[in-house]
Amino acid sequence: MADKRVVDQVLDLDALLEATESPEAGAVVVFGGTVRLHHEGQEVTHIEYTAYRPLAEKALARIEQETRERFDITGCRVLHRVGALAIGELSVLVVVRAEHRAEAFEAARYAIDTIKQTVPVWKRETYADGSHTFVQGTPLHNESGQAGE
Amino acid sequence: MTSVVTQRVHVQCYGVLEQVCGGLDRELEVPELPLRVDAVLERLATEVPALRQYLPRTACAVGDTIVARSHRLSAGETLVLIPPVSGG
Repeated sequence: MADKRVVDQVLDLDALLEATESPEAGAVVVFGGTVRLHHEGQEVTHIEYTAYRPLAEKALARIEQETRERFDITGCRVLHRVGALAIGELSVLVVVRAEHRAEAFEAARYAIDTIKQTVPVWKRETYADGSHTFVQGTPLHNESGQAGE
Repeated sequence: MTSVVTQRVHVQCYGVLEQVCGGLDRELEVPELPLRVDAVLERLATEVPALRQYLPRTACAVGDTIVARSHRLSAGETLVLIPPVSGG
């Protein structure tokens, strides 16, 4: 897996648990996002995730770093999968370890929320009737402001 | 007789824009480089009118960096179009 955070294979939770191990930690919080059967009333058959890897890798690494800086935690690692995923498969993983649970929960929440808002990944849902659509997303901002500027 | 020299810009369209632009990769002829990103986008929107409505919510990147519309694209740089993101 090396240091890649955008991966084509099944996400390896054990590797993240190992990478964040710390004798100082008394809590570990794992958040996983999985492919859901229903989206806004429609039956989903699978989701195709794509990413712009150069920027996605950088954004995910920055989220790990920011999460460690903002919260009193001992470690944070994240992974995002790309490709065609079936219902129930893991698309994203966040692992946070901290001395105490409150910080671990808070930090994990921050990490996944920031992933959803700032990492160039897109999901295209395919429905039972064969149609498909790109899920509405959040525009990226640069340091000076809005996406369109 | 003067020959008109044009240069080519490589553009990559991600997410829904791959569908809108009819493919991930696109080559665009421009009169000269460097050229501002907004001018490249204007030229692309002339070729692909359906793209125009997406541009206000589209970010642009070169390599692993988000660039402003005022960034001047040099020869050899690929302009990457990034519509609203929906990972997780």
